[in-house]
Amino acid sequence: MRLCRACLKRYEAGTIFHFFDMECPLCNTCLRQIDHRVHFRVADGIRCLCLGYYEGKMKDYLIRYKESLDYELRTIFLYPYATLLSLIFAGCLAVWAPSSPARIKERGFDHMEGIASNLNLERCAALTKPDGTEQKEMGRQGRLAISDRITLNPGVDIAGRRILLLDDVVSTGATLAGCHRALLSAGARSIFTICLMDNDEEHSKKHF
Amino acid sequence: MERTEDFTCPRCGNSDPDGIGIGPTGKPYCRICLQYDGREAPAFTPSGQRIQLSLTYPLSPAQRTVSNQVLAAVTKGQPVLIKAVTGAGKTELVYAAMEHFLSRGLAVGFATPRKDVVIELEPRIHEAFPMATITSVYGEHTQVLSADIIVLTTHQLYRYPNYFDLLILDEIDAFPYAGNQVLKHFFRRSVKGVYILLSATPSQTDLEELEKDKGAVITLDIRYHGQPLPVPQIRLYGPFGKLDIIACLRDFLSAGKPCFVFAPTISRVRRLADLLRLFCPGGASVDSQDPDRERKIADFKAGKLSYLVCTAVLERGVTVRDLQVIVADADHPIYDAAALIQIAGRAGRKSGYEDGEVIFFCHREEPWVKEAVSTIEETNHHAAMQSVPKKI
Ligand SMILES: [Zn+2]
Ligand SMILES: [Zn+2]
Repeated sequence: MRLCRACLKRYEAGTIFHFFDMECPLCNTCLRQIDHRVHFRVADGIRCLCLGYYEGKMKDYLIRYKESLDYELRTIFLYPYATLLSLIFAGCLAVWAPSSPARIKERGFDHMEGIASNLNLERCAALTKPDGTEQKEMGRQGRLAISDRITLNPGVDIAGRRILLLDDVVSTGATLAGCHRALLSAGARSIFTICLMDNDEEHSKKHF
Repeated sequence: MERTEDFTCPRCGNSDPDGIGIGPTGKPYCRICLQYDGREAPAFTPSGQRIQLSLTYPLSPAQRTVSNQVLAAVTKGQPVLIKAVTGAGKTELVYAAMEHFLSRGLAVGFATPRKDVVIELEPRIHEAFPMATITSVYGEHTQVLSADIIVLTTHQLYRYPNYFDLLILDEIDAFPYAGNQVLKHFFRRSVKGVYILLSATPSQTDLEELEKDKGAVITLDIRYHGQPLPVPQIRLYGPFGKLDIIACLRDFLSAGKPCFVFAPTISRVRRLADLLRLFCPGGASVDSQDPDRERKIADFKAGKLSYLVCTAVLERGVTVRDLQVIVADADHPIYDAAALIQIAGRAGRKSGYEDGEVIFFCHREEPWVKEAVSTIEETNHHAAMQSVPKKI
């Protein structure tokens, strides 16, 4: 019997994922909860690949990971795409949208670094943003202003590198735009952006 | 690195290695009680009002007997399980005991697994104790944590360690409380004095645990309005499947009776609602993920909606006049006999409207469907034996 990392239930391996992947973190039920609506979205001028939408069970798990600090959940969000992405983006440098140092200290970990660690790629905490710019506390105007305040960490050299940029949730795209600006001005050769969940207002309007 | 096997959670007592993770620093942490993280209530201070029970309607003789038995037990410090069928007027049974504790300036809590029930109970209890301060604590509603009477979901009990002189726990067999060891732990932790459990269908474990606490089981078999529970009719789907539901619903609606249609899962609720909408206008569907849920339920209660299609979330605690109940796919394994009995208890809940009909639609007559029907027949038989006046 295997243990599901998400719902903590013991289960009998029963899907093709379990057959090929001994390390599969999810049970049959939780695997079915993965939102497979992979799509491209252009947000704030940035084209990004979204792996699903910000809703349902996976949204709950992301909140449990980020807010309730369930560190073990870091392995489930890129599943089952991590292996494929590691192959496609071989040679790229994995970089993620930053949390503020205060937030990282409060959580005890950088939640995006935990997610990025599932990729078999070189990783770098290249970006940072000042304290007091957490999205929750800011309105839409404020969020747009954040994009100017994301900067490269001192001592990081990404000149000429191909970058794989990761973020958990994309809403307005302001954060991503800020990351792009910082990375490009530091000489990144190219940037491909992947978001776990799309929190598109247009999409949620369609549903309710 | 510490081993997860040797770790016991200091907060919830969990020591099952499956529920323990390794944190970023290599230290083990409990994954079970993570979500119970928030402000704890300040120490209890009574409002100092003279609190008296003021019921505007009389208790039935059967209710009075049970109420007195409960009061006698809890004043001795003995825990109680009240076994009462749905619609028996369970809440009123504990008012006397609540008054006893409140008038002495002691902390009284009323916990239930479901948020909807908390929202519905708060005004009802306030009506009974107009002098007492009262607060409800659930989900996103946690601003005021202290009052003379605290009505809360079982999820919120973690905020009240060793707090309540009298804690009442309603619907102990309901999700998510039933079988949840963490919630049970927080429940036990928050009882300082004595507790009262309410249930229509207590499980064997519930009874054994009560036994250990030397508690008493007190039974009330009669519905508040002295009428038997409606006996559900089992109907097998005909060759046109769901069309039978439409015919049945149209009958109820043309008689001007509001109706609940239950479906086993959220996706089936949505599909069934789409179908019913074509033939029966004026209804809506509700499920636990619906942001408009509270408004729709309120509309239904106010008579603005003629029927609701929903999952079992609505199965408890919502009372509507002259309600009819249809269960689509009662043979779905998600139901058991206890759940079906609860659902059947929804029908005709208010006095003067007790001829509610309950219809179970099935593909096959599964054993739990038949068990539900026979249990209701048995309860009615018991009730008839007790020969209590039909109307007060
Ligand atoms: Zn699972
Ligand atoms: Zn714990």
